[in-house]
Amino acid sequence: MNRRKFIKYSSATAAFSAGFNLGKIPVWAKTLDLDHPDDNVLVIIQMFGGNDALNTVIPADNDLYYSKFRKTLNIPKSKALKLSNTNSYLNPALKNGKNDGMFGLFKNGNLAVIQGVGYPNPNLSHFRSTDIWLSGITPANDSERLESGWLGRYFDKVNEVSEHPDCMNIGSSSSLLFSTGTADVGISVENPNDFYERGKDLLSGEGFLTGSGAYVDERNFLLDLSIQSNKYSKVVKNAFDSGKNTTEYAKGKLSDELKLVSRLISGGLKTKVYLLSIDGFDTHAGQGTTDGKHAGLLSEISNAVSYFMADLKTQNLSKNVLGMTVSEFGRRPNQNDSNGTDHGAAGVMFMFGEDVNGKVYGKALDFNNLDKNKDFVYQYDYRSVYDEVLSKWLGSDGNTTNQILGKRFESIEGGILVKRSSILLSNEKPIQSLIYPNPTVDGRILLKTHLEPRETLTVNQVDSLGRKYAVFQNIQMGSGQTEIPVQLIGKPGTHILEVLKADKKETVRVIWL
Amino acid sequence: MLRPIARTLGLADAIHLLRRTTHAFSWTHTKAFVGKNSDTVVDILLMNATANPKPVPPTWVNAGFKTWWKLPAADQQKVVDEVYKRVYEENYELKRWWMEEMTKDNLSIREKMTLFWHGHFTTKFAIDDPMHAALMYRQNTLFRNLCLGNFRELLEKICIDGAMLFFLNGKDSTKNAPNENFSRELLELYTTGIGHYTEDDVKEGARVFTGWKVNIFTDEWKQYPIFQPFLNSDEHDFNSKAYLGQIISGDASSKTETLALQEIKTLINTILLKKSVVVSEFICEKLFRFFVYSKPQAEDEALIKILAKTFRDNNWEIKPVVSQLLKSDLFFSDAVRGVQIKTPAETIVGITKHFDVKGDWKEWVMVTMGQELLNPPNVAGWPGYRKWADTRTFPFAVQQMGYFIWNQSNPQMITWAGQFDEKENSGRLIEQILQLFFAKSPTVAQKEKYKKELLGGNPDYEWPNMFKNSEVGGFRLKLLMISLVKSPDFHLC
Repeated sequence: MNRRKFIKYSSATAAFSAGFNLGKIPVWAKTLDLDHPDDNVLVIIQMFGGNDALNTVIPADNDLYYSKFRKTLNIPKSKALKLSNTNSYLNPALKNGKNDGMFGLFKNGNLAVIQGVGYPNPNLSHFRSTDIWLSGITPANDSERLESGWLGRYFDKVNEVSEHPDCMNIGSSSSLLFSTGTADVGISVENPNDFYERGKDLLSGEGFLTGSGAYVDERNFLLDLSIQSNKYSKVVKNAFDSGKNTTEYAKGKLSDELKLVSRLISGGLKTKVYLLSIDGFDTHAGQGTTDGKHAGLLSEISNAVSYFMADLKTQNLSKNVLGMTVSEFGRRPNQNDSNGTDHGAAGVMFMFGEDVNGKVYGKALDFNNLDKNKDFVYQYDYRSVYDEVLSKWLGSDGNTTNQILGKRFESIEGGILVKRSSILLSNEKPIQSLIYPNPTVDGRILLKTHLEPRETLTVNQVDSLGRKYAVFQNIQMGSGQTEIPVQLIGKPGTHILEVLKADKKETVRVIWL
Repeated sequence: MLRPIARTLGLADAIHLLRRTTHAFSWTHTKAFVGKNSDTVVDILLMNATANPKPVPPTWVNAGFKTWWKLPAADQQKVVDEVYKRVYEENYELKRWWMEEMTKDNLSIREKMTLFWHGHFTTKFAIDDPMHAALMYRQNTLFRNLCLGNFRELLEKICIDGAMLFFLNGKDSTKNAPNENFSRELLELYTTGIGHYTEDDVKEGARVFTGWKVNIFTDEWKQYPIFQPFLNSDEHDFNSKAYLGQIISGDASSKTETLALQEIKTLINTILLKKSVVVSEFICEKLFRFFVYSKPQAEDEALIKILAKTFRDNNWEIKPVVSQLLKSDLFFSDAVRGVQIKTPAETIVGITKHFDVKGDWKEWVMVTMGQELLNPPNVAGWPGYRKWADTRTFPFAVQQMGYFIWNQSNPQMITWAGQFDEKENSGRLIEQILQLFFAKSPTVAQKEKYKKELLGGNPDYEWPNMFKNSEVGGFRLKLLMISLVKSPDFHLC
């Protein structure tokens, strides 16, 4: 995606900024292949089994919840956590973890609670509904095959071969989410050290086969797997070794996995999407209430997510990370007699991160509006969320989003993401100027900065000995969020860029390896 | 097409058949099939499923748990801990026990079919409730005994199978608010597949299965034989149910177990009658994926329909279907050779038949490769196909097999090579090893490549001397095998 985007940018800027000396765009900028010009990362947590939305976000003001549907399997109102001025309450297990867990994130405006998410004609099979969620396709009938994932299709379309894996499954096998239909844009990683040890000596010296047929397909698939493992195991190990964690995490598989994700991001891995999964939500029996199976799972998520976000914040990386939870369905409004709940329909989604407009979306689950199977009716199509994530977080343009999802979906209540953090967005609020990539291996960087209309820009480079070089002097680049290619002067080392605008001066540090 | 083929088997044919129908075999086994008629050897594989020696049960299969809830509160935890310790230790033992059976069950389709049914009627021991290994053992024995038997009988028995009652919550399902778990999966995963029933069918079916229990305690419910399902008639819904457009009539005045059992038989009969075509095609497609190719092509649909008709015409007997499939021109055709990605069971049981791997190491490797016996990932069993190989499991499998081989002594390798003919002829030896372990007959380039690995730069004529010196020859064989497991051809079958 990047090379293509970069070229688009370069020519657009050139045409746009009459005051800018075209000669100043270095030749290399036109062919620069940055892995990812922005550092946005998406983390998806898949809650497998069908999360009981009703006991996750509780309509505790509704008496029917206690008197009719969940006579024993309920969260007492006295223990539930009221979500600002709404009549929805959070399960108290979601207060576990760092700084009051997910509830703490909500209070800080960093957690969106989206109620009643689903799709038309809900399918109550774990596997079919999981495929529907991962594919981003609501099939016309049960026999329609779902063979690719929404993110698989997206990265297949926009990306070129990258040194870094686009997507990653942590601790589980390949997912439909990352399938293009014929290939996989994701790899699976559990332990970077093991991965490296196993990957480095994996090549067989056998070659790919040409021709067609099942044998050729399967053999090439396996051979490609060993070549990819060999290649990516080094990249992942490098990031793991240069990354760090700044906090302890709670115990548990999901915590361990998010800890790994944080370290990989910290170490500069340019993977865009991480998929993690937590199993056990199929609570047909012995579900528990404020204690027990379901509360334990929610607690595990709250712990893992809150420490993860705290870790990233300490490292100044939290604004790059958006998280979301998905689950194939919610459960039936009524409990069964084995202290459990059976498969239902509409569910709840969480999105977390600093770019999230943290509040409650949708109305509390409504017992007076059930479908023909006596299940909750959805309010929002799950693909509204995907559309927004693609467009605002992953840099997809409208046409591409349209192709990936089959059509465009309206944002939920005006949008869950506060702003688009992609480097290419021009209407972003002024923030500290940024540099990509940093560190740079060849001294070629992009300076991203915000300019007011007709504001002039001067950029100086200061090397480690304090010597100052002029890079640009009083140029005009148009307005809004702008990227400027810069070739650093001198030799590898630590350099400071002084960014001088009409009334302010910023300094940005860049490391040239 | 799915025409009978009945022809004399060459070496590659024999190996193909053994790879697909058994977990482990040696060069000697392959030679037993070469030159025989394909129908004859398929019949041998099917016959041995019942003729091979029956497994000897583990020691604890009749030893129930102690109850804990009548003890003083202070003593309960100790018994609970003991129970869960047994759950894990004995189920782990059962996994190793089964792997042994897979290794020992030679020239027989029995353990492959047993695994097929385990993957189909999936049950996990690792759940919250204490799943007694004796229940898993009994279910495993049910699959083994009926592996080529009658599908209707299998369905009727699985509905009240003890391990299944635990896994899909049947034991907790009562008439007041029935648990839908088993009722849904019976249709979605075990018989029709999605799209052939309504949510009402799921709810009505759940009523049929209410009230069934299984006793796992030595000192409780003594009127019920231990590990046998029984009905708690108070918890069963004896009223009539409307299922798939059929009334399953009940009788609330005579609340007997026989009556509840009859309801189950009627329900199964209703599925097999009303949905006979979809059920037979659903199962036959699964058998096709298991034995032929995990990714059926469009043109295979017609073949699956032929198999499905055989299934229905034979009153749901499984053996005629498997027999027809394995005796077909399709099964022996070149298009389906080497197209299956090996399951961890095939990979690990296969290689440890050849190389001595101690303790629970091989079982641990299978777990990390994604196939823990008796503990599939979820109710749908193992998804199979390309899910077997990813950047986590594939490099791991290669590494571990390398360690397996590295751990052999050099003389052990020479002893292992004893099964081959003309061992001192390096070219012939390589050819046999590649035939045995590679998905397809090796190419000339592969034979050259791996012969070089074997000889390590020495000329051909040195091999007899190297082979006679077991330290040298054995070491070269190790390096060869470590190299072989990296090839994609090793991982296909």
